[in-house]
This record gives sequence, structure tokens and C-alpha cells, in this order.
Amino acid sequence: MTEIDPGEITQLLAALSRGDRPALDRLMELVYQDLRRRAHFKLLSSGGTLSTTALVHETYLRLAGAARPDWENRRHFFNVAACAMRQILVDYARERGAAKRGGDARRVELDSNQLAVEQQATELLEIDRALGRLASIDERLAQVVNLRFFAGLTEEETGELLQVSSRTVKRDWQKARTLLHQLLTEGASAQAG
Amino acid sequence: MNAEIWRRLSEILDQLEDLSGPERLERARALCQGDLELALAAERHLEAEGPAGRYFDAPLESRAADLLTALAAEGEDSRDAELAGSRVGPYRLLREIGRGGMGTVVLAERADGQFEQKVALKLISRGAGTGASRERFLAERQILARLSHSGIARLLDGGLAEDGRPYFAMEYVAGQPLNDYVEAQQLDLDARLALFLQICEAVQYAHRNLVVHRDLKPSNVLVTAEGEAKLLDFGIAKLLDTDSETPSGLTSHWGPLLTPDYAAPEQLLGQAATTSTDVYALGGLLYGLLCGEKPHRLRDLSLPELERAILEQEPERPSRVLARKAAGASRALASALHRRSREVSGDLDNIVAKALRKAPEERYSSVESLLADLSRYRSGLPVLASRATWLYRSKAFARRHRKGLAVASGAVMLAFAGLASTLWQARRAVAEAERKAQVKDFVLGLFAVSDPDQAQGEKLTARELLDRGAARIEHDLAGQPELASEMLAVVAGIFKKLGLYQRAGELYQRALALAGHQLPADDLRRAELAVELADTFHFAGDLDRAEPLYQQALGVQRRKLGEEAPATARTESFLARLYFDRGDTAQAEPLLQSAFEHQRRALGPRHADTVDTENALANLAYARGRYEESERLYREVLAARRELFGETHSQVSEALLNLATARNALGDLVEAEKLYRQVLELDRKLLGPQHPELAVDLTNLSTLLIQRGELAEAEQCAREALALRVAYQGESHPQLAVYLHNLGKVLRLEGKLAEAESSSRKALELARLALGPEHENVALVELALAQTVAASGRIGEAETLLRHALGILRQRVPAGDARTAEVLLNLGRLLRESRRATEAEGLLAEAHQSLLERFGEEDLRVAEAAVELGLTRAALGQMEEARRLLETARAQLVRKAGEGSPLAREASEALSRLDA
Repeated sequence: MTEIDPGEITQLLAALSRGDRPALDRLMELVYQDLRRRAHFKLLSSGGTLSTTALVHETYLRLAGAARPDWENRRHFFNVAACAMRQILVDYARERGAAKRGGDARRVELDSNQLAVEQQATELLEIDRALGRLASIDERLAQVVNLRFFAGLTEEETGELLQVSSRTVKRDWQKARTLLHQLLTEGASAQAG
Repeated sequence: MNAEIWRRLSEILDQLEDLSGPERLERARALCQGDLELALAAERHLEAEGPAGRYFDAPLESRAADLLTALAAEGEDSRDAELAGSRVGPYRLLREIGRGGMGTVVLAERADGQFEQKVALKLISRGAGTGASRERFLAERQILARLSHSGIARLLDGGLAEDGRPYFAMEYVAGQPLNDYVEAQQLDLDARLALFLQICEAVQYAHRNLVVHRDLKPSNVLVTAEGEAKLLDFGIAKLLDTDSETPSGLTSHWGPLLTPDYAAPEQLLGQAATTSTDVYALGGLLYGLLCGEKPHRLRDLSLPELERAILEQEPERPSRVLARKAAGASRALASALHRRSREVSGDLDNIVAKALRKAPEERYSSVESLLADLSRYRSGLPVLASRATWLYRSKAFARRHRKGLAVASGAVMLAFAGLASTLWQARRAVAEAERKAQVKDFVLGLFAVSDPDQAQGEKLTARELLDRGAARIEHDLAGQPELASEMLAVVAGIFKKLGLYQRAGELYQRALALAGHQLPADDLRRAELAVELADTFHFAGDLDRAEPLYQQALGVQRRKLGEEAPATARTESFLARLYFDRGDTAQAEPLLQSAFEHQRRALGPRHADTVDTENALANLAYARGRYEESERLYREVLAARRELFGETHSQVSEALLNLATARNALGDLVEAEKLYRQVLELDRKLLGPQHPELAVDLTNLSTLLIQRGELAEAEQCAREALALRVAYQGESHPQLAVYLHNLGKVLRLEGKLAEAESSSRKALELARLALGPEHENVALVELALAQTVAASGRIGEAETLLRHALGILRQRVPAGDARTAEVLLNLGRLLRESRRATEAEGLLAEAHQSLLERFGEEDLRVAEAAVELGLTRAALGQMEEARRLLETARAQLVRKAGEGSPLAREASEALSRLDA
């Protein structure tokens, strides 16, 4: 396991506020690995369900907490964390899809739990696609969804990061989910038709 | 929606914040200021707000977390494989050897060097039984560890790994999973059954030790290179289920323990698993061994569909699965599959079905009784499951009709699928693939009650479902009359199959009307519908309405398809059979001949349509007294049906019966008897040894045995027939009349007059009750009773009975009927023997005349009447007349029945008295 140097995170965040693209990729990679590794670890030790909120917050504390970032860097970080979490889920869902289509020659009895996960995974991929389209219509709404959904932030936390009132967050959230729902059902009927 | 529209819409939405409901919409419209695109977007958005809230709100916070948990857990399992070299308890892990719903199986060895023993170590997935109390876990483990049987992989050890997950160490079995093994070894049926018996014995042993497996499936049975079956994971499911009161439906978190493919309905319903649950799973294993598939194909189903399949649908019979597979297989494989299908059909199908019954109490009560039935099958003894089948079927039928949706939808859906597919096959030319999919979707949609609000608390019968479906077709497809017509025809076909001819007829008419709006009068599709409608009327006995429809369709088909097209020939054959059913053999014959020719040429002699026509031709030849010809045709039909359906099939049984009747008519009593016996044997196999319909076969055999003079066996058959019906219907069911009547006849011939009389009297009582006192069949029973009463010397009573019978027949049947002649003959004989020759003469002359017209001079019945009439004329002093009659009759009798036959002797004696 690579140890993460808090100094590197500070530098990356600084580079990020200058709009440095490679810095974003590197930060993304670090957060992604940390989140995924710890999701696995947590599962082993707790045996219960995982909380995305807790995971993201812990990652924040582990990686960036020591650097005491200002709000702008915090916003960058949580945006990155939300994207990383989204990417982890999407990757899991895709890996799952690939496994199901039988990369593995061994016979695996498909049980009901797996079926349910199957559905969730499919749904997640659909939401991911719809989110992509939402971002092209309204960038900020997509950000709100990312932070609320994938990073598990509250309305207040989201408002603080985006520098808007929590009332605006609430309003945005309502708009976003209605739009998302339209995009999702459009996708479905387009497939059926 | 583009970003620009959204920006404007978003602003409008901000101004609606304090409003709700209709006001919101009204205000939004006003703010759009006539911009149509914007207004539409706003309306859509406001409409979607409700559903979106329901979709996202409640579960949203936890959804990402749930998914992460589930997905990460899977990732974790795959990492177990990387655990090689690490330790669990006292074991060192070597390599992964398997994986399933419950967890990972790893080959391991003891790390403490105490024993050189390799074990299969099972690491249970997180979530599968993590709450097990340690004490209970250990106690159960002790019980399992005591199971010691060569067919069960022994549990050696178990505990909790460092991360808290339970693990089990089991005897390591080097073997292949059951299904892989039988495929690789290409085992024949007998070897498969032998393997299955081994498995049953192991389960039986465990049950005796009060351990239920609960998760039997092919991957839990390994077969060693020596062909020894070993069961894995015995009782593990129970061990992990900490709280049996927790409902464990598929969707609950106990899911991972269950393999739905082999799960019994009660497991799905969260009820306690019992030995009966294992019997069900064994049924599933046997199913796979016989036909290579799982009882239900669940893979592509959603959860609710899957639950419905397990709880409601009867699995397809293994023999049918094999037949279906054969249809798509290469030639060599197809013939092997067909052979297997024939071997499996009947008893093995029934055994599997009994093990897989939905209700535990309808299954084999124990693994012992399953084993016993299989052993009976292997040693050729009658199988209990087969006996139970008809009873179950009739019970199931009654239940279906009483209870409605719960059971009916599954069964009807199967009927629907089967029927739809044959219909579609017949219409391959017309129906393109896209439409097919539409029909299928419709059918599925009809029965999958997808809207839970609609399904709640509502019970629908199959009939209501179909009616609803028909209404929906007309409503939903109002714009597509052609498609609507086609689908209505499908639904009509099901009603026809259910015997609801009237409703079927209505729907066919509706389908025809819809097609009529669209299609020209001479359209082939309309002709086809007309044939289906006509066939429905025909089935319902309404020949007058069927005939013009057949004719009309036939005209169109002849013009458009030509005389020789299969569709034309089929209609021709149907129309001919209608003429035949009406008794118009002269009109039926040429039509049947031409249909037969065309079908033979176009479809080949072994096509089911061709064979049906050939059978109708044989019936016709028989009805016209051309027994040789009918015999030849029946033989061909028999051979063809054996080829088409295999030996054990009701169509084969029918063909055998027809052939027997023809041989009987030709006077070959020996072969006829043999054939009747074959029919009986085959039907016993098809229906089970206690089936009430066997009484018909027994009665046929009994009647033949009477002709052969084998009265003792004839009586035995008649009694058995009666007993079957009594067991089925009780002592006083009107339908018993027939069997009592037959028994009475045998007994009279044996001279057991008292018994004969009581049997016939009871028959008469029931027949009058069932048919009314003036029915022609009542007259026949009266005739039989009169014969017995006369033989007992009570002439007056016999005369009264015969005169009553004669009165009925004169009223009810056309003049010249053979039944009337027989009563006349008996009454005439009675009168002559009572020295009332004058009264007898007229009656006997009438009997003789009508028999002669009906059967021709050569017939024995005619000879019999001639002897009676001759004796009467002699008594009246008309010697010339008498001599002529007696001589002709004697010649016939000697030739046909032999010089020593009683009637021939009577004729000879009478002639010598005349000479003296």
C-alpha cells in the first residue's frame, strides 16, 4: 500500500486551482485507490453495510485534512472524491457485467442476491449515463447530484462548498432529480420503441 | 431538451416555488407567454416531479451505499483466491477450487503438520449467516460431524476465521459436478438412474439422522472417477440460518443461501425446510439427469416472474423437453433424443412430477418412497406416481377452476404458449418475426399482472383473464384491426382448447369481422379464420353452421392456392369428416380420397394431417362395411402414429383400438383379442392402473371374450371395469349402468341367472334415472333383463319388458334399425316358444327383412333371424317357405360358424323334422 504524502496533496490542490489538468488526474487516481481499498477493508472489519458518506469523509481527513485546505480546495477535493466514488461504482458495475457475460468458464449458480445486485448495477450505469447528459444541460445541477449522491454530502455541506444557500441546493436538487428522471425514462422508452 | 430551453425553464421554476398542484401548472403556462416549446417542456417537467420524487427520495441516500456494499463484497470474494498461502484456523490455503452463492471453496491443508490431510475449506461470504450465535453454530456442527456415509462428504471442522466469517473444512472430494460428469461420460438412462439412486440413498441416510440438506443442486453433488456420488454441504444451509422464523423470501437478505433453480416453493415462502424440501430438490436433480435442463428456466426472469414460476408453474415434462430438443438437433442426435424421450415419457415423467409438486403433502412422503417408486420402475412394476397422476390432474383441474388466478394463470399461460406456437407454425408464411414478438409480448403482458394496484386482492379465473385479454385486444389495437384479428384468433383457440366452444365461436366471428373490414372477401387469411370458426362449430356439434363456412373457405383456397396445397387439403378433409359425422358417407368419401392424395403428395404419408385423414378414411370404410380396407388403413395409421408419437401415446392407443375393432368385424377373434389386450396395457401405462377410463378397454375385451366363449375371464374383466367405476364415482352413479349391463350379459350367458338379474335390474334403474325412462339405451337394458327373466322361466314378465322396449325403439329410432330388429327377434322367439306362432310371424318377418337390408345375406344375424322365422313358418304349416329359409340359413351358418355351432345344429334338426 502506497503511503500518501500530505505535501503532495497540498501541491496537487494548488495546481488544481490553477486549472492544471494532470494534477486533477493524479488526485483522482489517489482518491480512487484510497476509497476502493478502504471500502474493501471496511467491509472486512465491520461486516455491516458501508456508508459512502463516511468513506468520503475519512478519505478527506486522511488525504487532505492535514493540509487544512481553504474552501476552494475543499470544493475541488470533494468534487474529485464524488467523481472517484462514482467511478468506483461504475467500474464495479461494469466488471460485474463482464463477469456475468462469462469471462469465467466456471459454472456459478446465480442466486437471488446476485440478481438484485444485477438490477442495481444496471440502474447505476443508467444513472451514470443520464448524469452525463444532465451535465451538458446544467453543469451545476450535475455537481449537486454528484456531491449529494456519490459523496453523500448534506444540503448544508453542499451549499457551503458551492457557495450557495442550502435553500438553493434544495431547489437545485429537486430540479435535478426531476430532469434526471425524465432523462432516465426517455432512455427507457427510446430503447423499448 | 437543450441548455437554452432549460435555462429559461429553470428561471420559471424558481418563480413557482410557493405554489402547488394545479396553480403551479397554471402559473407556469402564463410565464411561458405563448412559447410552445417552453410550455411543453414545463408541462413535462411538472408532470415528472411526483414520480421523480418517489423514485429518488427515500432510497437515494442508501442506494449508493448498498450498491457499494454489494459490489465490494463480490470484489472481496474474488480476492479470497489471492489468499493462497495465508491461514484460516489451523489450515493453510492452497488454491481456489470453486465458488458459489455462499462463498469460496479453497483447497487447504493442515498447517500445524499434525495430519497430512487435504481438505476443502469453505469460506462463507459476508452477509450469509453472519449473525449465527457461536453456541448454536458449534452444536449444529457436532451433529453434522457425526454424519458418516460413503455418499456424503464428511464435515471435519469448522469455525470462525480471523475476520469473523464462518468457515468449514470438509473431506476433499476429487470429482466432477454431477451434470458435468454425466455429460462427459455420456451415461445412458440406466446409468443415470443408478447414480441418482446413490444420491437418494445418501439423502435418506441423512434424513434418518435428522439432517436436512436444504440446498441440494447439481453443483453440490460430485462424482468421483470411480463413479461414486458424494454430496457436499450437507446441512450447511441450516447451520447458517440462525433464525428460522425470519421469512426468507427471495428478496430478503437471506437470498444468498438459496439457489432459486432448485428451491422448493415453501423455501421461497419462508416456511421451514423439511425432508420434503429435499425430495423436491431431488426431483430437480432427476429432472436434469433425464433431460439436461432445469425444471424452470429462470435465468432471464425478473424477481417477481421468478417467484411466480417457482410457486405456480408446472415444469415442462422431461420427455417433452427432450422432444423439443430433438426438433432442433442434427439427425443422429435427434434420433437418440427421441428414443430417450420415449423412454422417459410416462412413468419417469410422472415420478419427476410427483417429486416436484408445489404442495409438500402432494410429493413423495419421503425419500424412501421416491426410491421405492424408482425401483419399481426399474424392475418394470407399475409406478405409484403414474397411478396418482390422473387423480392429481383432475384435482388440479378442479382447483384451477375453483381458485382462479393463483394456479390458473400459470397453467393457462403454458397452454397459451403451446397453442400459440402451433398456430404460428401453421402460419409461418404469413406471420413475420416482428409480429410474432408483438403477439408474445401481448400474451405475456396479459398474464403478468404488472400493475400491482390492479393485482391487489383481485382473483381472476382463467376465463376472466382470457375475456379481459380479448377486450384489451379490441381496445388497445383498435387502430390495427389486422393484428387485433390475429390475436383474437389466438385467444379463441384457447377457449376452444378449454372446450368453451360458444365463446371461442364468438371470438372467431369477431376476428373474422375485423379481418373483413380490411381484407377482400377472397383473402386467404379470412378463409383460414373461417376454417377455424367452422371447426369450432363442428366440435360443438353444430354441423349446419360449420358446413357453409368450410365450403366458402374451400372455394377461396382452391382458387388461390390450388387443389393440392396443404391448407386446401386440410379444409377438404375437415369438410369430409363433417359429412361423415352427419352419416353422409357417399358425399364424404370422394372428398376424403382427394384430400388424402394431396396431403400424401405435399406433406408425405407420415405427416400428422395426412394420418388424420387416413384415419377418417378407415372409419369410413368400416362404417360402409368394407372391413378389409379399413383394416389395411388402420394398420398404416398405427405405424405412422407410432413413428410420430412413440409407442406410449394416446393416439397410438386409439389406432390399436380401431384396428382391433376391424379385426373383430373380420371375424379374427384371436388377433382382435390380442389387440384389445394391447390397448388395455398401453392405457394402463398412459393413465395409470386405476384410471376409470380403463373400464372402457376392459369392457371391449370382455365383449370379445364372450364371443370367444371365454366366459370366466369375460366376467372377471366386466367385474374389474365395474369396480374401477365404482371406486371413481361411488355405487350409484348413473354412468355405472353401462358396466352393470355388460356384467349382467356375461352372467346370463354363464347361467348365473340370479346374479345376472340383479345386475341388469340395477342397470335399468340407473339408466332410467340418467337417461329418462324412454331412452333407446334404456330399451337395450330392458332387452337384456328380459332375456335373463325369460331364461328363468318368467315368460309373461319378459314379454312385458320386450314390448316396452319395442315401444321405445319404434318411437326413438328410424325404421329398420338393427336394435329394433334384435328386440323383435327376441320377442318373436319368446312368442313362438309359447306356441303363439301367429303373433310371432309378423314380428320375425320384419326383423329378418330389416337385418337382411342392413347387413346382406351373408351375415350371421340374418341367418339367426331366418332360422327363427323358418321355425315359426313351420309351426304355422307353411312348409315350403320354412324349408327355403332354413336351408339358406343352414348353408350360411355351416360356412361361417361351423357345422357344430348351436344355430347350425338347430337349423339342421328343424330341417330333418320337416322331412319327417
